[in-house]
Amino acid sequence: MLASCLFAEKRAMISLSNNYILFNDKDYQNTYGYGSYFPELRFSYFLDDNLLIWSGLGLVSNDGNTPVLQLKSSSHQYFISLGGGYVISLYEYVDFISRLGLIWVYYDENVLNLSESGDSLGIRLDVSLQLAITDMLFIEISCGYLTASDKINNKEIDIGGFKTGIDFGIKL
Amino acid sequence: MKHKFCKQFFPIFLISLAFITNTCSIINSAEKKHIKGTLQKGRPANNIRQAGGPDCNGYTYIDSSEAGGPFYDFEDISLTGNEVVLSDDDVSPACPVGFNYFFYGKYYSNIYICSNGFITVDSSQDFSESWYNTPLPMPYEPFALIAGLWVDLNPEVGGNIHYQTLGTSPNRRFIVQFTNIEHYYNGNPVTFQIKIYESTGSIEVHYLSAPTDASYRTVGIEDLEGQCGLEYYYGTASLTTPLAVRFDPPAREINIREGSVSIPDGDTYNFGDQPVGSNTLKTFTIENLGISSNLALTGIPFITIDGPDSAEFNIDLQPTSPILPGDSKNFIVRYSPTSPDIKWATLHVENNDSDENPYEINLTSGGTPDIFLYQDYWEYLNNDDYYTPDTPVGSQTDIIFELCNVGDIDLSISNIIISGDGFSLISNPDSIIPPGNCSFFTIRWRPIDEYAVFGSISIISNDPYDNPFYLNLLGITAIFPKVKIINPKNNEIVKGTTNIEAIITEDWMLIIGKMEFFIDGKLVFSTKKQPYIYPWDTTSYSFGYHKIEAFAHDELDQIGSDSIWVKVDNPPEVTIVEPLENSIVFGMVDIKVTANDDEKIAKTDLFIDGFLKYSSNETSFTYSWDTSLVQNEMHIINAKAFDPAGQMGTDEVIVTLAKVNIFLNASRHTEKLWLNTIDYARIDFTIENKYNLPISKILILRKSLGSEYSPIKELLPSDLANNSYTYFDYNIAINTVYIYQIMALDASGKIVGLSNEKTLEKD
Repeated sequence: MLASCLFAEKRAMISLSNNYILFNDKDYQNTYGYGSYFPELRFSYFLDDNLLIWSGLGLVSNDGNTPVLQLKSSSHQYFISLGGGYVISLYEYVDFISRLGLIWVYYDENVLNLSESGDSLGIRLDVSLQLAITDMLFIEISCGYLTASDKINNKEIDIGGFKTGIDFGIKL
Repeated sequence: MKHKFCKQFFPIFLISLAFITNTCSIINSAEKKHIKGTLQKGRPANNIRQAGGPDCNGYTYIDSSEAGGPFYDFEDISLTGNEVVLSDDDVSPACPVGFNYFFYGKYYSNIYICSNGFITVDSSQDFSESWYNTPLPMPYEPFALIAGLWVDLNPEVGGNIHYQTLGTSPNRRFIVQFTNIEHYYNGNPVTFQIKIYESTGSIEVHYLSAPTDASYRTVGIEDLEGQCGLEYYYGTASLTTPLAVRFDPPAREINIREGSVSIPDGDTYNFGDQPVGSNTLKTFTIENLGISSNLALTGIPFITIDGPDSAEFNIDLQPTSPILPGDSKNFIVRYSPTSPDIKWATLHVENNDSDENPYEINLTSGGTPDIFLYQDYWEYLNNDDYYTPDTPVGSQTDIIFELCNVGDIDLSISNIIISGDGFSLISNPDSIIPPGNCSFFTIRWRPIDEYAVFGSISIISNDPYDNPFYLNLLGITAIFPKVKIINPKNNEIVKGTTNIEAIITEDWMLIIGKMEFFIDGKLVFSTKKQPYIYPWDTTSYSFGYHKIEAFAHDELDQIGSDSIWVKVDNPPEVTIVEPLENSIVFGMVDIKVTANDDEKIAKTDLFIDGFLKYSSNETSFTYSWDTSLVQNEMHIINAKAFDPAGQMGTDEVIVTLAKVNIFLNASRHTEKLWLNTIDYARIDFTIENKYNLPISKILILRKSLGSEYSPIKELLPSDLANNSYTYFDYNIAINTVYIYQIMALDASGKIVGLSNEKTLEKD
């Protein structure tokens, strides 16, 4: 209710998330590590006081050395997310938000003169606590899980993983 | 070349010879000629007679210690005279005296200076041996000399020689001066001068310094034949200086000759065997050999003849008198025999020569030849026996006899008859042998079997007492063991060690003392025990034929022999000069091979580990062995040389090839990334450089089937850890077979190590 009051006249949010994601795929971990930063630009639109729809554009980019040959390799994952959410106001300046959506991910990996790429669909679930700083600015602490999978060169790969992050956003 | 032994002992020999010849005649045994002269007996040192003579030409001498002797006057011309440069035992060209001077009956205008302290009028002699001085006179060169101080002097090492003519005609004097001339061996320089006077013909020697060098020295003069002369001193002592010695020619001196032959006072002249009723005329010449006084014939008439047969000798022409110095007059004697007997008369020439008055010559005629036979200086009388030297069957001995005529007239040899099997006449003597002469003839003894042969020589001549002269001959055949070389065979080709074996086929019941084997004339083996076998190592003998001789000596040292020829043809000797046995080599290895054969090398093959690497027909060659691609450490180098006969010599060395051992291992792997998979080869190698060879870089080589190696990685030695290295080759294709090899190079790019190859099959 309070949120509704606070955002009675605010219908949209734009935030920049700075996430840290822990990868599911073991081979990926061997070359690029267990996790990395995952920045994301996210846009949300309130349908009413509690429901919203949202979309996000995120990027995971890593460089690494192959474990044996110690060759330099690089990998990129581009995430586009779309889904809906539900907002529960806990306190006057604190809201709990849960989001569920689909993700489309484009990925590639380059080593030596070898390059592989592909894309896949997956799902995503996020929960967060949003703290209002002013009428327009807020901070949101979130965690979530996103996953997709694909098969390339007869090899099953996992994309995504558990993530946590902090968003800085503005309400419009 | 001077022989010091001769220089030391020859004077002693000559002293002995001088005593031997004190009878004034020297016998040349080879020619048996009688040479007459008036040798002065050699005197001991320090026993100088101050005056002496005359010699047979009337020369006398006197020194400065005697009344009437020369006054010592050393006129130094060393700064004014003409210098004569002489080497050791040398003689000068003709030195002009400036006036005609008298010497032994003749006048001369030049003089020749010998480095050994004397001057001479005769330059045609051999002066190379003039370093040994002799007593005087001596019928050996040098002749015609004025020995101021004849000893082995050597102007090359010190001093100088000058000559100069001083004074005015007709009283000039010619001076030859030896100044500080050193002895050949030990210095002790001498200074003296010889003066020849124009007016008197006198010769003076003035001694300023004449120290001894302990060798004999001679002072004196000698005529042109060495038959007449004066010796003032012959000994080893120093001459006490100052000293002057004068040699005076005779004032007058009578001499009579027939033709060119002088007839000394008291000698005999033979008119020969002339037929009865004939007239034989002989012209005689009376000479005055003096220099200053006339020779007056004082007889009436000048020439007279008496004696038992004087009626048959008549003077057809008397000489005139006086006879001036150097002049001569002739007279003629006619011999008219009235019977064939030997005739005797005496010719008298009374004159004013105080020591030869009257001058008498015995005249004779007729007479007989007298045959004397010598062999090897032994005289054989008529009907004597002569035993030939022992001569083996099949060989021969030539025996030279000397036939002499010691009679009064010519010995006429009309025939020499040889009898006896095996004897033959090889050369005849002269058919006419004058009195006092000899001639030679040769017979040959060639036995036809082992038995002695009797024979004879009959010399048919005009000797009334020994005609024929008969010499019994006994031909002696040498009996010797008979030996035969039974191995090898004559003309056999031998090689290596070959047994030479000889046997005795006939010992004549005598004991064989020893057997000797000679090869090419050199004794190689001697044994007293049978079997007579000598293992002959032919390898030290040249290719070709060699003569083998076997000599068997019996107990009487009679020798039997046999000889054969064999041909030595040994296999070649080949030597691998480099590398040495058990040596350690690396890189480009020069293999030097020499091959020698007693004939020639046909071919030499070089093998390494059994593989032919090189062939040559040279006696020496070098093969460069590139070991860079060679893996094993131990290698056998073998050389085989062949001669034209196909005989082979071989040599072999084992060498260790110093390599950098590289142990290579390689395996295929796959590295799986997130999306990609990398296929790669793991290359592991370890280097073992136990010879510490220099390594500059290491290459990792790779090739695929059908291609050549190419480097895929270049490393420095420092890149290795614990001499090991691991390399990942990920530039490979899955479906390709790869072969890897590691190569170590030195700074010059030479391969010092090469690993094994490792093949990676395709996945």
